[in-house]
Amino acid sequence: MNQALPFLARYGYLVVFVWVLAEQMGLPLPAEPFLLVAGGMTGQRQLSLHLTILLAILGSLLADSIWFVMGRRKGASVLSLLCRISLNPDSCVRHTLKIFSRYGAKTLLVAKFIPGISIIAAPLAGIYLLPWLRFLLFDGLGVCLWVGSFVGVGYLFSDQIAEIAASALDLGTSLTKILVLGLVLFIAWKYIQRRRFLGQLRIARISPEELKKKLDAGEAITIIDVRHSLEFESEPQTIPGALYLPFEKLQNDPFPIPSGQEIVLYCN
Amino acid sequence: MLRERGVKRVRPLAGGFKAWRQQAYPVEERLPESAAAREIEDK
Repeated sequence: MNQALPFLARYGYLVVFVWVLAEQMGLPLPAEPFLLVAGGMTGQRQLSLHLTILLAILGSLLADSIWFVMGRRKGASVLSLLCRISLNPDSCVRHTLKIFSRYGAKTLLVAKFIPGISIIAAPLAGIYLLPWLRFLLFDGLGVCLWVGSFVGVGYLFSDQIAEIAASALDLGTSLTKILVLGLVLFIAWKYIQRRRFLGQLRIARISPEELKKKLDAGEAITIIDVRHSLEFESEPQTIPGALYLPFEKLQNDPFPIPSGQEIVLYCN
Repeated sequence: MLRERGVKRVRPLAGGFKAWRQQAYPVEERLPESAAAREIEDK
């Protein structure tokens, strides 16, 4: 494996720290396969197991702490930034809010293992003013579990990983091209899906100015605030006359729908 | 989802509540319906 991955063997520790930090900050660099490989290298004695785990933990904790502080200082606007990074913005924020409201700080213990949630959990903890020490405790434990799991598996299966790496490198640049093409196609597909969805919304949406005019004119409109309860708690105001009906209730509970009226929905 | 329930005219507010606030349009104060945010700390 030393011959197969000379770059990692030489700069492994720095790469581990920077890669995990970058991925946890939001860059589309899959950290788990990298941690597996790094674990494999520790099993082959190319890297120190303890130092690798420590640097990966530090990289992740640093990124999470940055997001936590940004969540505390910027509030819900941080989620807008994250939504621009994520290719599944609506579902990832809503899904994380749902889990966070149910399990609180314990969410941080497993957030790293759940796609889409790992990047949202830390800033959300900041937005909802989780105490700093409590955040460090639960996030620290979660990061240790996450890093330990993947590096540990890589360590235990280092021989197999070395064989896979050797086979992959035999394919040379062809494999790289296939993987890059696959990743590009996946991202393109998600992007097209997202644009199509947003296109449909754009056709139907109403601007604040238009809504204000309709309200001032006394038009019969039903306005529904579908923000999650946690979002509503941090900003307990609504558009005048709006019904507050979180999205989860809208989905599950029947409520009287006024016939013939236009319905305007809004969240954050 | 609402369209499946027979509601034809459903429109999302462009920019959401944030866009409404940015226009400095009036808002209503509401009492929080639950202590969900405070419960987070206790979990």
